[in-house]
Amino acid sequence: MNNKQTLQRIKIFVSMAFSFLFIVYVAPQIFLNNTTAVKPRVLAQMKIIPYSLYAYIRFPINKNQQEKIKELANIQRLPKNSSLSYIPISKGVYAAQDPDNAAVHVKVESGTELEVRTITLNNGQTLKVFIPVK
Amino acid sequence: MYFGPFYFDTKEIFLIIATLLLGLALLFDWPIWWFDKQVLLTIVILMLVTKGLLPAIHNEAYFILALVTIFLTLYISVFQVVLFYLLAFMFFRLLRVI
Repeated sequence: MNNKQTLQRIKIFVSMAFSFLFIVYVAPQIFLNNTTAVKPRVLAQMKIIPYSLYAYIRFPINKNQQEKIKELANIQRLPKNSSLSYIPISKGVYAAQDPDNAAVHVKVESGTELEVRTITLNNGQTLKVFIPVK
Repeated sequence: MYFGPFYFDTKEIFLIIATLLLGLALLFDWPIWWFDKQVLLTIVILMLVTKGLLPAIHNEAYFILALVTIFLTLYISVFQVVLFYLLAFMFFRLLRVI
């Protein structure tokens, strides 16, 4: 009976210790500044989960296809900033710079043909380049 | 102690009295040192709800958690305290404490 009670108390202590560690180390990675708001990065990753699952089921062996589906899902999830003024840079392609974080947003009209090329930079980094077909 | 058809044990009565006192402190603006009255009231309401859902045999786990949670309100934000309280209950269930 005494042993059972001790075990019960250890379990209570362990539960509370785990919970405390969770709120100190894990919760700040998920929630924004100790509020109920979830971090946008976590939300974006959660939205990609169905696409990743679909990619694994649809192409269980082909890693390239899996990556393509995930990449496409990522592009579709980019935040839409309606206050940006887009400038045409090519036929069907527009670009704008976000004044807040200097990020460049590129908008491609549906139906625009793009040629995809993979280039390797001097530092060894591989990039995928989309070139509009005129 | 019976109140009509309902039975309350001593701990429950004290918890209800504490809640009433907190409510009065908020209403009449009585000072409570160190503690944030609104946070305490929120936590105590959560405790009353969970106490209502737990059978009396789990009183020990419940009251240890309640005391630790109240103490934590001094140091961490209300959201973290609520999260701690709910997570601890989840772990209690997983480890078969309750």
